Amino acid sequence: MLTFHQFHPLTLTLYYLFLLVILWLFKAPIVIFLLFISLFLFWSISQNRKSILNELVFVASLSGLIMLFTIYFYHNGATPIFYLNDQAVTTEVIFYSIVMAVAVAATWITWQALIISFPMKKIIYLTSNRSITLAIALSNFVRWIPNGKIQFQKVMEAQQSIGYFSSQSKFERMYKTVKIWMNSYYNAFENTFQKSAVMHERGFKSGKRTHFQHYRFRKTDCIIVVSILITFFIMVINYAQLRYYFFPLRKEMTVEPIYWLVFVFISLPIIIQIKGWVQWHYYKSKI
Amino acid sequence: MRKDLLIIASIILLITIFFTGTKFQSVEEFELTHIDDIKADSEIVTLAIDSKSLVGNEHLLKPELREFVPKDGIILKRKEYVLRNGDTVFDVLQRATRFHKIQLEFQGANDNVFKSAYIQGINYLYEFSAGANSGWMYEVNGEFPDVGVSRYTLKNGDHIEFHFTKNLGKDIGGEF
Amino acid sequence: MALLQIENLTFSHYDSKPIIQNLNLTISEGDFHVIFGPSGSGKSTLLNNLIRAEKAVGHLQGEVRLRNKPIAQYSIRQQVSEIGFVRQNPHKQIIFEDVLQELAFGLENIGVSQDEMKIRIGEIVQFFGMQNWLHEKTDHLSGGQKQLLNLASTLVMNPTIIVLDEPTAQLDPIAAKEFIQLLQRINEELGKTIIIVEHRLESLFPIATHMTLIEVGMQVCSGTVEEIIHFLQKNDHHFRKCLPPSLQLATDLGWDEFPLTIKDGIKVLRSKNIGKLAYESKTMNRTSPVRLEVKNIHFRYSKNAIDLLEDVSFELHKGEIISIFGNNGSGKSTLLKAISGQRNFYKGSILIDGVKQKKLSARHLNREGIASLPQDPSTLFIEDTIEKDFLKYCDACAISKDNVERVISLLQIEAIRKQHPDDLSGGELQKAALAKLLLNNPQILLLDEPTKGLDLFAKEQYRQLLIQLKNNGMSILIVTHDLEFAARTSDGCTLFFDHKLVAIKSPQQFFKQNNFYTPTVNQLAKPFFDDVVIYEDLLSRIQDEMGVQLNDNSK
Repeated sequence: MLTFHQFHPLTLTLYYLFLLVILWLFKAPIVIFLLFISLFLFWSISQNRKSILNELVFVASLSGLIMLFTIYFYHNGATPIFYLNDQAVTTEVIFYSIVMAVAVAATWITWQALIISFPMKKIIYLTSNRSITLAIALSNFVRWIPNGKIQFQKVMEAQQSIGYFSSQSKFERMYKTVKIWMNSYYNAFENTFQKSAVMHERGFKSGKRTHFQHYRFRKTDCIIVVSILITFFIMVINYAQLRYYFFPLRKEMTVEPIYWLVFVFISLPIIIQIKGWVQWHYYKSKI
Repeated sequence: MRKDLLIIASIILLITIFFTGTKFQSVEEFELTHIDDIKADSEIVTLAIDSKSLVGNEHLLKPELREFVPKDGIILKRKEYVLRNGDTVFDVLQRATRFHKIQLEFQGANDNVFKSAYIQGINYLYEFSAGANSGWMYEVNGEFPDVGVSRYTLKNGDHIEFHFTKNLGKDIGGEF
Repeated sequence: MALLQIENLTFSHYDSKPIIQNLNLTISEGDFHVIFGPSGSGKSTLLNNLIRAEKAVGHLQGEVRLRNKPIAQYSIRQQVSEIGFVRQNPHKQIIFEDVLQELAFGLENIGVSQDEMKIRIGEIVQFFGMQNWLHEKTDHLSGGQKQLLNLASTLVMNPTIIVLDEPTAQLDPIAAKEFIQLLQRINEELGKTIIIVEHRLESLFPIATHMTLIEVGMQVCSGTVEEIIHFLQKNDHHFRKCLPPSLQLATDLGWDEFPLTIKDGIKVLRSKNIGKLAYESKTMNRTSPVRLEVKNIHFRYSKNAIDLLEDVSFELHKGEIISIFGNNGSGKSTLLKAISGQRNFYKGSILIDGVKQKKLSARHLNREGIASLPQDPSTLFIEDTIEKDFLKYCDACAISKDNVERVISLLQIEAIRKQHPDDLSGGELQKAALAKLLLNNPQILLLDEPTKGLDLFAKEQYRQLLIQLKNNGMSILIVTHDLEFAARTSDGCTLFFDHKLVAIKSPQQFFKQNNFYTPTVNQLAKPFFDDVVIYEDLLSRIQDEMGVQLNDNSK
């Protein structure tokens, strides 16, 4: 196994689902922080410096906004720091807002990693034998947003060059931009349906399909899937104990034994990546 | 696209801040509320807050909340307060909880569909804390008004009681 | 036995005039059948009716039979295995990011076993020479490579018939040639039947076995290549202009031979003792005032990249048309964007009418007096109808609404004024785009590939319009691959090479110095008159020569 993305699509689906469910069901701060760090590192391996920076900035801004929102709307907690509009802003709320912001960031970065793990062909592989329509709908969805963006940029450039935006009022310009934005994404949406027309034309729905690339369900896949399911089961049974609460007083952040397993899962992609590197260097040294 | 997302979110945040205001107070300032002294000619109302319906039913609450239910269920014993001109139930409640350092969380009148302040939690006991039908209800002079707390104007001699209910009022005598 | 039989095919959308009427075609195995005709004559509709999977909405009469069985009676799987389809737009047909998966898709759909798939795909990759870009992402492929991929994806299914709808329309001439050569190999080495709709017929004449001319949905003539040539010649049909120059000469001069290739044409000309007479090459006459001056501009996309525009300088005079050639990705489009203000160069200057142009500070500003046509003209339109779009634009630029009527009559697009931009054909879209650009009365016109998708007659119309505009004082800069069009239309030509522009010369002088990158006419004429770039010039010079010869003979 050279990279994590090369596991069987089913394994990958289960893995990502497991992470997200554990994240939001239990809300344990330690898990949340570790998840974010680990998946961010994993995702950034395949990116260049500029996009990593961009992503960090985006994530930081998003987190900041979420924190501000939370502080404005949550006043629970036993330790007030100051009062805003006659309601308390407590240490518990601050802590909650930080943790929730990181949780959203972690979800976002997991989604980014997921996009890399699932190019179109894997989606088709997973869904085509069960539901052709689902396969087409999913593959269209993934294409829709990048295509819309490209179309938007092209139209904006063309319109700028002929002076469409040269009117004075800023408001008018914003209105026009939004209109073009909506049109571009709508057009991209329509175009993705054309893709499904092309797929039909090439016989997509004509009967039983075979697969060019078989994703083998190896032993490692088996181990991972089984251990994920077992861990999940154990955690759900112990839900009451394991769930983390923030109000009125913060729960102590202890590391339950089962969490060690969760940590292993969280760092799985990185571990596999490092193992791949080590192996590769080992082989290289033999040349 | 992400930039657009951020911009939209910031705009919403700014609008929210604009509407709810930015009144900052330190803890000492906040607690330095002034309860008017009762004089001979002052108008008076009484206020009590209890969560009796939870006594003996603590299992309904999440474990971290159980310690905040007093043994006898009484959060604020019945006391007298000076009635200022035009005071609503909400005004008195706010003043009292502030003075006695009881936690209060509410939704402001302008954020509310009913155009009245809505009491979400008192003393860390929130609505839905004990199930989907739990929350805070209030009665004045033995009757449960059908307006929000900031739309009920008080008269001299009114008795206000806040109860925590587990089932939409059935256990405190005020069915919906 | 006839492989494909089309009998009395008539198709119309509900309640309107039939798009195609009474078409009768017989196609045998191994044919290379070319269908041609003016734009909008229903050729695409004919092809779509061969592909059952994409059933157009409308009323269909007549029958299409494959091996004597109506097509509708074949299962979808069978149809997909027998008939392959390649469309005009290379990008819209590709589904996957992965080249291999794209090739395998059709095979997966018909349930071929994994082992067989691997063998078939391996074969095709060899045949097409795709090894080098096999592992690239499809988004990163050039237009030509994408179209090759589309062709390979159909060929891997081992169909009997491959149907192509203007496959080279969006490709540059070099990619187009490669594509056609591959088609020839597929037809000759593998015996596949090819049905192709095309405008660029010159390279197809030597390869085709049969041809069909369709005009206004009706079949005008159908038969072997010789029969078509005779027909065009006899009826003095205006489509004679589509013939390769060597054939046109044969028909205009009444020869017995019918040279299909340039090689044959040169042989015939030699046999007629056409020699070299001295002629004076036309040079450029640039006396009018300079309108646009580009001085030593440098541009690159990011600090560490190389210069895309490196020390580019040239002048554009009033009332002049200049064409710029160059490879895809060489920076020609970027040059246009630098002039119109969408890209800011870091060194050098641009002067318009002597006034130095400032860097555009805000994204909404544009340089006055310049209108530019992007590579994708559909991005110019944002409203539901052409008319609405024009009116909205007039509002935005604060110009009078009378301009709308003016441009509509100038470009003769009255018929499409109420149509949605997405519904227009390639040619109509180009005309509408030009109309929109003319609304604001620009002084400088920048056109990026304006003849993409236009057939011969539309091109001629377009050309005349540009000449008219030029005569009214407009300065026009055209980036194009269409050497014929540029030779006929421009006052000057230049090449964008190695991030710079070479000196601008008249078309005759420019093409005189090239051996390969020249219009077909020039390739035919080179051994005799190396500065001839337009067919009419070649014809008149040969007639001059023959007149001289006759005189000599009679002496």
